[in-house]
Amino acid sequence: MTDSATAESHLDPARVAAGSSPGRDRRSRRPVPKVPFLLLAPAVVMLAVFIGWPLVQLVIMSFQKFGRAQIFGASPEFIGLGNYLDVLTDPQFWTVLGRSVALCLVCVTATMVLGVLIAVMMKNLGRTMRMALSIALLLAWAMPALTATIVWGWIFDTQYGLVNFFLTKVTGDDWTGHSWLIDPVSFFAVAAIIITWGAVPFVVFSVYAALTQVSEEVLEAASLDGAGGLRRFRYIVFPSLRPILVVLLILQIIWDLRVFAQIYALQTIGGVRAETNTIGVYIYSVSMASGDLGSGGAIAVILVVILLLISAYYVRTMLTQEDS
Amino acid sequence: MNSRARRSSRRALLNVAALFVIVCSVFPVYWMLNTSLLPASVIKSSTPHLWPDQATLRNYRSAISDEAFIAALRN
Repeated sequence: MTDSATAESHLDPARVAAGSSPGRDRRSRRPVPKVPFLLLAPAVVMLAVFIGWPLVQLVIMSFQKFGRAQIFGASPEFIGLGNYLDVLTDPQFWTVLGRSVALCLVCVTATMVLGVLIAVMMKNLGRTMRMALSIALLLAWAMPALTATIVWGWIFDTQYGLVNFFLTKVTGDDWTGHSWLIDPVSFFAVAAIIITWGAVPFVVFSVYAALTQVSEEVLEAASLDGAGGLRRFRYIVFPSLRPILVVLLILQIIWDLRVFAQIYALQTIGGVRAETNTIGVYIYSVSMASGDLGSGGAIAVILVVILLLISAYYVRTMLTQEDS
Repeated sequence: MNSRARRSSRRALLNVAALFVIVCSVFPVYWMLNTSLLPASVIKSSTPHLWPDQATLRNYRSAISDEAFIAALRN
């Protein structure tokens, strides 16, 4: 943003001096307005200080040997790519990464499918029902991730949990004392339920907002031409939803890949940490619990790069789709 | 007539589905409230209490009179 600003202000006087014919280039007649950039400056400075600076620190730290001694004041030593080599050759990192990606895929798919389905349903509901549904979703959305995880932890509790109680009642087998969190697979099933439960409302509201923008006239014309509900959705509704779906998809992938609170709290309730770490929790445990900020930084930078690549890929596909 | 019947049955189905989503979405919030109103002995009984039939505000009273909670809130 600032780059283009300085570039243009450098360019402009030169053009005026060269005496480019007036009228051919609109910009040369008008001086570059300074006010917008002045108004932008505070925000850019704030972003640079509060987001840029920690990121720079993180990258620097990822190239240093930064352990407990350095936290207490010893000057860090540059070791180049040492941290990255350590991390990338560590099989545990790859297990954790694979686990995170798998969890992310499941959660994102479930969230997007459920979100779109519920949004479409919301569009077709009566007013009262729609109101009730919005309030219900809003309540779920407003619940902080940590609180939600603890409450879900009660529901799946080993001894006093509702799920075990009802399973015992329905199946007749004794489920009391069954731990849902000790086995990694069911641990992640519970985690996926919590994450999806918390993420669906946002998708529903966004998609519902987009659905209300779909032109009624076009839909009516299509139904007069004999297009059924599914074909109308496929050829009219879906294309106009696509931009918002892409954005939602990217956001969900980013949020679910770096998920922290839910996993960490569930582990505290009763999971085996080593078998259920995802990348967000792994960064925390490497850098805080083991005090190796250098390696933690390296993992974090790798995660940022992965997230950037995913975003870049989808933004590019979106742009090419819009061009064609 | 037939199409109207079909439409109303579709509406009913839609409402049932919406109700299901509402219940799924609200239940944990409700469960949090329910648990917050029950004394510990009831929470840890072998049969769960689906509504706060032995409701007490004792948990809230103890939370409000807790120094650490007040300090956290002030922060």
